[in-house]
Amino acid sequence: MKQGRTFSVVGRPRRRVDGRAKVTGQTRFADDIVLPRMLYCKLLRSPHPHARVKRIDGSRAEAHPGVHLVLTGTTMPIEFGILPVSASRTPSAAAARVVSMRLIRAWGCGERSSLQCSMRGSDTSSANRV
Amino acid sequence: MSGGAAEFRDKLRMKLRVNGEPVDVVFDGYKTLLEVLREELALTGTKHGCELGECGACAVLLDGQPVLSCLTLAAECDGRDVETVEGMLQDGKLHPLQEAFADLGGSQCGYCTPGILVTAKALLERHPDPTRAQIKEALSGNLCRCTGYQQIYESVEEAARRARDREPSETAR
Repeated sequence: MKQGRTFSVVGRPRRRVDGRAKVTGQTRFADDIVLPRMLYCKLLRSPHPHARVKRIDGSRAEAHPGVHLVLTGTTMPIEFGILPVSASRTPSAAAARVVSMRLIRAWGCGERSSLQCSMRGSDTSSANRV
Repeated sequence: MSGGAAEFRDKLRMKLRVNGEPVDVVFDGYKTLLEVLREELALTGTKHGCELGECGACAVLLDGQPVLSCLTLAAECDGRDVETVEGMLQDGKLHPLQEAFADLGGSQCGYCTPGILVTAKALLERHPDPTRAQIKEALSGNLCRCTGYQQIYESVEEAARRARDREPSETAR
């Protein structure tokens, strides 16, 4: 860029179209929406980065007053169908989709660290290797 | 109906001021100030972030001091003065901080913005001409995942400048 040259548009901030809404608290985020007879969903996540799901017992949750539905991977109507697919680089893309069905695999990490995670899940004595 | 509800589930009632208006509210005793603001008073500008006191998205001013409303039991706020982002607008006019944040990109996705705005407001009331270090320190409890903080610091500095230029007497309080 030539010295001393000034621009009237380039390099100057412009107010975003939603700028006012954002700074006045008027922007509606998903968490701000309340609808009549709204149900709330609670996701139960695995405490283990890599493990095999032997079974999920939802009977106590189902019996709890106010609970309408307990949903696990195995009760999904289409296998591998409507569960979110992760962008995992782990060895088998299919295995990465089985979240809450049979396998829990740490994702968002490289293959090496996921391998170490799997050692950690299967053998607690090696926990400090990660 | 579940019988034998524990005592903490009983409804409480309190009177407080929210954004300058007297409010009389009935709420579940276990609720936090954040939940009462959002759920009972429909002031959803204050955000539900981590609920652990780490992110600062839920910051409000309690008697003029920034507090994390997710860690403040609502029952502690009886008779007190609460200010949220909704209260920064005066007669339909943006506060200098709100203007600067909108103009300079200090707000991107906007989720951290309400907490940062009220925290910065408390800072400017103490220090109308804060140094960059003072701004950093004041906002150290507010996490932002979009801006990288640069635009936020610049917005606070610009707001201080505008407030001084515009109405020197008003910012003194």
